[in-house]
Amino acid sequence: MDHRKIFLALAITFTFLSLPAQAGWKLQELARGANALLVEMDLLLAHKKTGCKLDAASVSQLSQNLRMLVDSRATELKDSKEQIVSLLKTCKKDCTCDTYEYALEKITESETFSTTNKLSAEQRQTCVKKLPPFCQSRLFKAIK
Amino acid sequence: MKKLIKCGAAVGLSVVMLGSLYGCINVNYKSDTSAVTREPQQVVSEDVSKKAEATFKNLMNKPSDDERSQAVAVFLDRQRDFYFIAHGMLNEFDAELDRLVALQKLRILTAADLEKFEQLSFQMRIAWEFFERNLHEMLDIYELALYQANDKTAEYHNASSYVVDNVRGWLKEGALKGNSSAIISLAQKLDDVNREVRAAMQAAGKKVILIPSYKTIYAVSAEALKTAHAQSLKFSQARKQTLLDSFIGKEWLQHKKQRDLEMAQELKNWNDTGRKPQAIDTLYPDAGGPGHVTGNRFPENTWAITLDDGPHPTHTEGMYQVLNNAKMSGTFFWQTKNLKLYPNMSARAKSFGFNRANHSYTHANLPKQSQASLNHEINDAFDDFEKVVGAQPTLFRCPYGACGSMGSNIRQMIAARNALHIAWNVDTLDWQDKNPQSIFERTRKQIDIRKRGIILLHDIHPQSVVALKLITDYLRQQAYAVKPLPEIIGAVREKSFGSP
Repeated sequence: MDHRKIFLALAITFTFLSLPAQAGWKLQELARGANALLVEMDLLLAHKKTGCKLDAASVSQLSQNLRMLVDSRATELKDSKEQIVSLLKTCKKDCTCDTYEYALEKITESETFSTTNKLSAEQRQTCVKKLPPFCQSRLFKAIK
Repeated sequence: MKKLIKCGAAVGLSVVMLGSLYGCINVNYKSDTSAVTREPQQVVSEDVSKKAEATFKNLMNKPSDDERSQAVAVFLDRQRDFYFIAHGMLNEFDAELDRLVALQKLRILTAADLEKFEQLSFQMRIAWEFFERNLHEMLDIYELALYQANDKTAEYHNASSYVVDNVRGWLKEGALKGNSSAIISLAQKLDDVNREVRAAMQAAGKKVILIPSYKTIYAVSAEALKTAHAQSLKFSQARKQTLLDSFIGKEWLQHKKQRDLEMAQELKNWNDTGRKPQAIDTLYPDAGGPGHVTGNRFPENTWAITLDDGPHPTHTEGMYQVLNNAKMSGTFFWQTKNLKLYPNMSARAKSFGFNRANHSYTHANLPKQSQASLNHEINDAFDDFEKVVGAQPTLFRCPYGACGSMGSNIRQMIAARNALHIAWNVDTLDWQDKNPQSIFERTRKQIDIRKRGIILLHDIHPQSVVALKLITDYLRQQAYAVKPLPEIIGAVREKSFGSP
């Protein structure tokens, strides 16, 4: 096999491997996005500098768009509830617990989960600061 | 010289914004692009106003050089004080405009904000003209003195030399008064005059005798500029009311009176045509604007509470209790799938007097659905809703607020069912936040800003029930009217609107 063929084979393999990652979103990624949007709205309403420079109506719309993705991912994980439960163990580190609980409520219908401490706006901001800017993320572009 | 005073170049204020809002202020000074080649006495650039020349002559019309230089110093001192006052006013207006622009970005400007905005823009124009006039008068007198100081044969050479020699000290004294930012700007403009006069002298083949430089005053570090700006803001805040404030206030009142008279005449003309302005607000089932309700045009201080996604066996009941205890109404946008699971929740809602509306069959993302699926999500949802509730819903909310664009197939289907599409203008974001207190804070701020509209909550989350209690307490405390959504719609369109 010459170099050109090897390159072609690698390119095809890479394309196929990367496709599912492009189409689907990890629940953690979505949950971090949800937290970033809450922070965006809270800073906006406090007349403070925001990351994405959106208005309140746009944040609301992005939140709805994100909820679609969370609902869709939660439905995909319906038979793997334990995956979400395992995420709850470390969720305090990046303020993602609320979205995991939402996803669990969604797939278990009427059951209610409230295992976490309630987060303040300041705690949420600290979580967002630790992560790469949400407004420049692939997820942000997808829901915009 | 005056090219530097073109629109957009002064004092580090938000002139760009002003320029775009109000256009350039028309200052009657010519450009200095033409070369000046006259004798020193006549080298004075063409854009020094006749008035300034007359003022200069008047100031110099004294028996001795001491008295002449003193007269110029007194004049410049007074102009500098006026310049500071106008500068302070512009700072104040600028800060207030920043606040209003921030509100505008949130799309939450109220009628009162718009009135304030108009008032500020009107007053700012007067302050700006005053600011420009004083600045130019100082620069013109300085320019005239500079030419005289550079011509030993000039009539007022000695007095002018003394004046020019003392300008640096005069600037420093101004900075000590606290308005450093204005002084930095002034020093920069005076140096522009210096450069121009030097160029004119050289072009005329004249020897330069005295042209100072104020570069050390304005060419400072970014940090120093920041400090100067902060000092100036402080200086502005401590500013006492002056005759100029009173003059500007009176001018505004007069302008407002005239404006209101003209507006009343316009309205009279409008009414004479037989059309009512309220016609714009008429709401009726339609795939376009008239079929879409956001709450932004509700009467001031009027709110509707809406609760989506239920009914839920526990949390919807919680919402009933909170609303009932608060003696407030609510409109429930339910998924027909859930309504069929918990049909008794509908009768409970009716017994409390709450409105029931539709939120699709299964909360699907409608724009992504096939026509068959849309029929199920909309038409079947309406039909089965009626079977449980006993009446057709007249209010519909698309899941995720996603109905496609105005006039879309989805919106046409909703209108065909004789229903209005209901959006919201206050989003609690309660689905993604488990903390009722922060949900409440977020909602409270939006309520305060918007003053009217539709609040979005979900009756399927425990945190939303607790948050609703805090929200209703606040609405009552602030004496806001929380009314049934169909009642508000009826009031807006001046024709009753029914809903189960």
